[in-house]
Amino acid sequence: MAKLQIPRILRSKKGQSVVEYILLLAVLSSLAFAVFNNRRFKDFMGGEKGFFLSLRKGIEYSYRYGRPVSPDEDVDASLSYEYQSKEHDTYYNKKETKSRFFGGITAYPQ
Amino acid sequence: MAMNFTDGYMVHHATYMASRSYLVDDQERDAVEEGDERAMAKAKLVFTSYMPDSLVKGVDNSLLKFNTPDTDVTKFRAFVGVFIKYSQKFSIGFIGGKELVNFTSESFLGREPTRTESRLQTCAAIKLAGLNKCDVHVTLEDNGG
Repeated sequence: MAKLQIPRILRSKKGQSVVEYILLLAVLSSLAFAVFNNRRFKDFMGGEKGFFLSLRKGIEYSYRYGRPVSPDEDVDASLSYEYQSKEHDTYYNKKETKSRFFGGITAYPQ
Repeated sequence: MAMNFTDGYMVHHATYMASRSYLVDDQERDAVEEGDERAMAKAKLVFTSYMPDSLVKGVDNSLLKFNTPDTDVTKFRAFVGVFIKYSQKFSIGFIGGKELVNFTSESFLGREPTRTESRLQTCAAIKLAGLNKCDVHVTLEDNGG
């Protein structure tokens, strides 16, 4: 049986790892390119809407009012509050329509 | 985000200290409004002592605002005091977008009546008692009734 004629350079294992790394890098680059150019990914990471918008608004709200944001909270309305009513979220509980501060049950005698 | 919060706590502290100053500052003046203006100036100095210009980028005492006891300015008296609004970059960097984070730091400790106000109120009470003016010596007596 005739011997298979393989060029000498292909019989060496030198460079195999480099070729594998290059191929791996190419695959990872393609994946990264596909992900970073995805519109939904850009929306998610952009901060204009989605997760980071919620995060930013949550930080603004909790910084001002010292409370976590509840899901049913109108955050934009709370953040634009300008002291024209008593409905400051630290002071006033809108759900229970009463102050979060406490006082005597009966009025102080006059 | 920790950088946003660290700066934020420092601003909260400076606002609170400014509010304490605004609460008690009483420099003898003929007009109540003039005394209030001086209290504001003093509160700004106190704010700067805790938050020197450029310590936190974009925050200085010119941003400090006051809810004065004047009911035309502050409709609800619980909110007499000091507040500041400022903006910072979202410190989680490129993934957080370019929108700034808008912070509001508030401290509503109120404002004590000044000596000028006390004098004016006492004068008003004396006038109610029958005198036309109160530039004469008057002795007030509490009969316990």
